[in-house]
Amino acid sequence: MNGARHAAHFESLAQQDHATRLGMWVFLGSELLLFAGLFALYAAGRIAHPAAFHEGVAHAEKSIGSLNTAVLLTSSTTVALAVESLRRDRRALSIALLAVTIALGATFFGLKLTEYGAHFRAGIYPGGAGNFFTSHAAPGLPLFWTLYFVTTGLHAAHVCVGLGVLGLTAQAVARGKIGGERAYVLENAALYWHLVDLIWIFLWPLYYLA
Amino acid sequence: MSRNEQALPPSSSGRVLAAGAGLLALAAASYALSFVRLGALGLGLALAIAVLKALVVLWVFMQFGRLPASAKLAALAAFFMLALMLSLMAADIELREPAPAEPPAAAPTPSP
Amino acid sequence: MTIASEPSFLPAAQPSFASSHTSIRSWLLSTDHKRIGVLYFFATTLSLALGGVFALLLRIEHLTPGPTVMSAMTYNRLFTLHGVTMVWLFMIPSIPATFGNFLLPIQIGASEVAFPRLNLLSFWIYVLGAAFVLVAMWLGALDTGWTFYTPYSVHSPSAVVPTLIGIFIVGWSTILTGVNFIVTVHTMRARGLGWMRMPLFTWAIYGTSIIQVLATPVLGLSLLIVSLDHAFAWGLFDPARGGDPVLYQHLFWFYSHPAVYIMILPAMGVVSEVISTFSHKNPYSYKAIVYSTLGIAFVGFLTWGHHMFVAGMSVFDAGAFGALSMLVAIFSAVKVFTWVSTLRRGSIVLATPLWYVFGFLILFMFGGMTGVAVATMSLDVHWHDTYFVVAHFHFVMVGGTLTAWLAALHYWFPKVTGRMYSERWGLLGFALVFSGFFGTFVPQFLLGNAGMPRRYYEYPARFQLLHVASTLGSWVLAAGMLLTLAYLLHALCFGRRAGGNPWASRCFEWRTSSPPPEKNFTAQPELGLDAYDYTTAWPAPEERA
Repeated sequence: MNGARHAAHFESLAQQDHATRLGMWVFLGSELLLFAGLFALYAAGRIAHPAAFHEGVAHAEKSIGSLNTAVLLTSSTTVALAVESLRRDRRALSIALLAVTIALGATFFGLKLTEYGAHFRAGIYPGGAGNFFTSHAAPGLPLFWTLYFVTTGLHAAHVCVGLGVLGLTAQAVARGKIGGERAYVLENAALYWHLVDLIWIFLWPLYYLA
Repeated sequence: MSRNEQALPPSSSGRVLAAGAGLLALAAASYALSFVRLGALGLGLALAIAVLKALVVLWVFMQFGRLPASAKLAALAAFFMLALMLSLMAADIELREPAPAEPPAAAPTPSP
Repeated sequence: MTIASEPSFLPAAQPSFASSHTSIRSWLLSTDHKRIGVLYFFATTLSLALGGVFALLLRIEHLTPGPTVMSAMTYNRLFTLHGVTMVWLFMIPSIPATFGNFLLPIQIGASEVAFPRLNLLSFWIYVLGAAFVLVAMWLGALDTGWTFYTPYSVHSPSAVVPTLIGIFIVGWSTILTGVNFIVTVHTMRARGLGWMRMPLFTWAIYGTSIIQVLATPVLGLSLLIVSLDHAFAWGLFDPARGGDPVLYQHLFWFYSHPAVYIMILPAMGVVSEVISTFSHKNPYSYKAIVYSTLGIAFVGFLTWGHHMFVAGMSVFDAGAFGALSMLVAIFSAVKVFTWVSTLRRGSIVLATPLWYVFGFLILFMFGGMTGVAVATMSLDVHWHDTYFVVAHFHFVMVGGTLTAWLAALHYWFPKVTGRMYSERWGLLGFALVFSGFFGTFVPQFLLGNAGMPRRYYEYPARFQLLHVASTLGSWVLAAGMLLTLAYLLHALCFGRRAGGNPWASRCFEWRTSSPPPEKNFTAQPELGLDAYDYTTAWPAPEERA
């Protein structure tokens, strides 16, 4: 275990920890605001077209979406456990938990792609394209579905980035570069994953449940 | 090896696992509720459960409570802006007057 | 009260940050915040020149009521490019990424920003985004106006998508720089330097960085959606598919109104510094400046709908935004009163930076008051989309930010280059810039009030006189800018050497050599004496900690 030396321009490891932790939270704030507009558009759309949005939810792939919710919540748990393990210097356990997290994240992504396939087979495409919309002509329906594709698409892109970040971090843990006094690096990577989870926690009811 | 006084101490894995189980339970509850015909209340309830789940993730997994004040402020500021955007945009749509049935009478054009 | 002389404890000449490594690679791949600041300076100044050329061409077109030198389509593209280039490639990074990068660590007694490699990455992200915008120009540019309102932006058969991608990328540079500066101020301050002892320019950059981080992602999303709609016809703002074009405006202005405070807060930081230094006096109220800075940063987020009074918003929102918009003026007024009170009974030294600050005070006040005027909904109905609004924002952005940028350029020229420019030429440059500015934009208030719409290629003959006056003014302004460029380049090569503190300032950046060494300070920086304390004598070398 080690690498407990701090970067040259910092005075101490504590300062580096504080800086990277704060930096990560500020960055997460900006990521939240990236998604904010999509939630605002949903709210406005729902107020303008309540029946159409309700109808949209009724045609959502609830099983896949809900399974994905369980997958993502579990992955948040495993990554949090990975952090705890690393804080206790249980490096092998930490790496194993990270591997599980990444596997769950990849499962989420795979299920998402499957789900998109199901939409396309049902004739639901972004932009109100597809023959689903010829038989379901409520004016707000194309908006619901396009918002769904853009929001879940942006979220899925973040899942991919998160998987990459977790993978790189797992490597660093394996090489002993992170751990002990430098566990905050894994904590920050896990924070990104938790944000991805947080966004989905709100996407799920809006697009699948009600 | 330098000491890192900022490092967050480990919290119990049991706590993390309990939180995880709680999240799945809340999700299951939300899933079950979605089959009940609740009308407008349905979305409100689902979102309320989502808020609870989010708080669990924030408090237990992301350890919001143990953060330095600066990080807490950053998170709260971002959340405030999200709320501001949502409320004023929703208010616009909610409170827009319906379009008049007839276009307003043309104003006389000023002479050149 | 005596005027402080240059402190005697400055170290003997050290290799400056510019001479320690001299290869091109060492500059282009430097993680030194000072070199990155200089890189940004060159890039943003080139953008200023490009945006300025676009403006001059527009003004030439307006010499006659009908077609003059270009087609209507070209005109539309030029005013769009002028806006895009000036706002995102110049104004937003003009002070924070250049002077902010150079000075922030020095002003807090640090040797670097928190994330030096991220800083370098931010610069190259800016360059990549700018390259996209340039490529889009080469592909024929776009004609939507810099605001890209839907539905036209979604349908316009022009280079919308590459331009928006470019701005999206530049936005990430802004966000990452903001993160870097926020963390730097929170975690890298020198021992003993509390928040309420930081220089006011640092506070200004800090407030700006908060806005950058919170607002810019919203722009990113808006541009992403318009790009998707344009490229794939997804119609998120299409009423036929359930969308609402006014919602685009909400998202766009949610960013773009705070964005103007990204542009003005750093300028105000410069003003605070210059006023204190050139009146050799501490600010009338340090806390007033600090709290009004934070106040502007916060309230700036609450006002975006005042750009949308006639767009079709609900009356409720219009009323709310109108009321909230009045609040910002309070904080700006607090600053202006504090600055003027600082000047009073100061030992004033008239030098080019202070002349530009005088110009700022007049033009910003005037521009700000017209801002309150257009924020009044009943008046805005008359002025919206006329030259009145154009004149208002050019008063605050050019008369405000650009003027402060010029003040900063002259004020910190000796610190960055180690040389002094000629005051005589500086004064001439200021006279040309100030009078040229006046001549360009005062006629535009009159034009707008008389009904001249903005973004119009042709106009009724009765407006010609004022248009010609505005164009002549633009030539004087351009002459002033070119003259400034010329004498500063001359000073860069041949100017007399400046010492560590040619202005006898008390602020922290003047306590190291000019130019600073690579690590900013050679020993522990002497920050015990306050940045604005002009009454206490400099500590003798033996007394230093």
